[in-house]
Amino acid sequence: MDVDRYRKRYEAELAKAAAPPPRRSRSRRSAAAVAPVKRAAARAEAIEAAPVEVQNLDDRVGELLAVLLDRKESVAVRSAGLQALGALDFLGPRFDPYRAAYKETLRTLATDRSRTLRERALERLALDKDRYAQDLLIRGLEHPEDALVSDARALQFLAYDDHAELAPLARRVYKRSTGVAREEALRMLATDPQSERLFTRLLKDKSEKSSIRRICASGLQSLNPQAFEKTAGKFVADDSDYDEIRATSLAALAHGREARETEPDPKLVDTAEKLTTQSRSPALRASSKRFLRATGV
Amino acid sequence: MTVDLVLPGADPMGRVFVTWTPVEAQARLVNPTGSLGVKVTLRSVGAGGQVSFATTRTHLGTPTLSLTLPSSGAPVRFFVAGAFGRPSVGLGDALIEVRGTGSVGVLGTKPLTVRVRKDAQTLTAGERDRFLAALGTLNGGGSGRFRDFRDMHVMRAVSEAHGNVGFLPWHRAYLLDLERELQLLDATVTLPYWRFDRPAPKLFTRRFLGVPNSAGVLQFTAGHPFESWRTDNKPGIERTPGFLPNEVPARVLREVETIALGGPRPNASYASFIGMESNPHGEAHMSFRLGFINDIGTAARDPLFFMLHANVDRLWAKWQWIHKRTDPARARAFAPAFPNRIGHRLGDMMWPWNGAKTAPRPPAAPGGTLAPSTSTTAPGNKPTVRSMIDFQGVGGGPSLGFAYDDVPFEL
Repeated sequence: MDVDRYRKRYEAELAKAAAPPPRRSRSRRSAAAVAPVKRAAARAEAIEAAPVEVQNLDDRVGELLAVLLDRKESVAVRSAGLQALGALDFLGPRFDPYRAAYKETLRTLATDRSRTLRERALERLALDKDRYAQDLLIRGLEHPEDALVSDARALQFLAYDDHAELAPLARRVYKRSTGVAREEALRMLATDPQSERLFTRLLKDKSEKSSIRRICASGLQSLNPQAFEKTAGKFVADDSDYDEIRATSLAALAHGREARETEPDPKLVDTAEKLTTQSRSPALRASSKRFLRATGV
Repeated sequence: MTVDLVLPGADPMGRVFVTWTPVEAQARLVNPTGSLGVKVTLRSVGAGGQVSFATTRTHLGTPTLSLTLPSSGAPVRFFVAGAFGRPSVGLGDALIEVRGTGSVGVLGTKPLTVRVRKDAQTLTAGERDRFLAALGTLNGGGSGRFRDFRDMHVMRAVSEAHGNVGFLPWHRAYLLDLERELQLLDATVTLPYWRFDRPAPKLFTRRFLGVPNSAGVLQFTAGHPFESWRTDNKPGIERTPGFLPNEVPARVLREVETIALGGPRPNASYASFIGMESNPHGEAHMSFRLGFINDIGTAARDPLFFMLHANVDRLWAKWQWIHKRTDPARARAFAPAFPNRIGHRLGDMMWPWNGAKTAPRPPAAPGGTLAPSTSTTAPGNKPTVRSMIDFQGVGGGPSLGFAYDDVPFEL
């Protein structure tokens, strides 16, 4: 491609874009300036984050916080405000002067009637390890009638705090739940040494859902890599097991650090070699090849 | 009689990687049959990547070049670069062929790879799978080298990387470090970028970057390298998009709008362009309703984060190219740090590669120095802010060894 011609073409593209747009403008309209506009979509669009300069950050953040707290405003507009503030949060230290007010606003949103806003606010607070938000989430897990978000989301948000003792809660959710909440509980338990037996049992259980067994493969590998290799080796060789879980296990072994640091089980290598040519599952063939490459065979 | 081609930067296996930046190479006769010089023609004849040649360092290279090689065997210098718009798709799929005149035929060949970063949406299945496998291996089920990259981008280090003029140089070094680590695992891999201002339906699939379940946990095809992805001791990746896979995220500035942030020429300045940190950068992060990626402290737990930032870096690269802002000595190519914050001034070495652990730097410096490259000496193992600016070596120095598929080298 001719570079000079490419430059001219790109300059023309920029010039065209710089021409005044016929409809949608990206001018620095503030939310307040378009408040009279009736349509929520137009107001949400008006909140779009304009290029931020230090000198207009005060006004911008103030307007956005006001939008978030305006319960008469539509969820779409308030969500747009939340997104715009989240984008400003990426300015790191430049956003520090507003962080306290932002947090207070998020705490208010945490119990808003909109589930969307509650979820987003609680996640942001949980990322900050905010005790108020953590208490709300724990209460929701212990008393489902008070839950502000789903069990799965509550567990995820609480897990942002590395020091949280979540295993007992996660075990309770695992026992009482089905679907994604059960899966989330297992993901939490992947850091709990006492759950090794549970993971081993579920991983071996062919009647268990594939998604559960796949979480258990990853969980067991993390809790006890040697036990995982032993268990995985057995059902990778088991033609009667599902190809999906066999492929998942081989891939986990291939990408796990152990694959590069320890001698692989010769039986597993034999099995993988056979699978590269004999399996009808493309995923299993691909995982076998990757496993053999990773182990240097 | 043969012709020996010597290209710089071969790796221990003799493999050569180039970008759009011309590198100086040499051709010389071996076992010449006469005492006169021999006229030869260099041609780009690869089945995949293509290269261009010149006798000077220029962006105006051509697909063929005639040289006269002395019978003494003395080398003749020429320049070779990837032909802009024609990158490789596989290892060594670019080929230089040397032909003599008339019936002399082929006197030598040299395979090489035109290795540049590409739009993730356009990757071949092979390119995609090699990238995923390398990143999955780097993660190593949570105990691999990736852990350092996750630990570099955390809240306690936020002042090193965000909210100041060094935002773009710091992330350029960060991506380069990661890419070089990936290339140690698979030399063909480059970091693809996510063009967040275009639909990218191929990315948000179970084969590539995953599809969330109802709890926002990504689901992958069986055997996918990210199935065993683990960060902060927890398996899995959480990401709930606020847009459909075939849509463009709302409110994220388009490329031409981003380029315009720096102002019109001839006054386009970095001081204004850095406003892109909030939009499109921050907005692209926040285009996901929930998940790791929408917070500085957790974003690096999601592989998409690196592709998002590769696009942010590409946008800077494109702005630099179109406005010719690659000379750090020019005022508008960079801007003063505020308020003179260490790590954001041109001459400052950047954390963590400098190993600094005393305030105001963070208390730990994960990952050691910047990974080396076989294809270039730049930027050294302790990069400065300045060293990140002229990434293609437009000013005559060595390139950083990476380029983007749509940002040419131009003098």
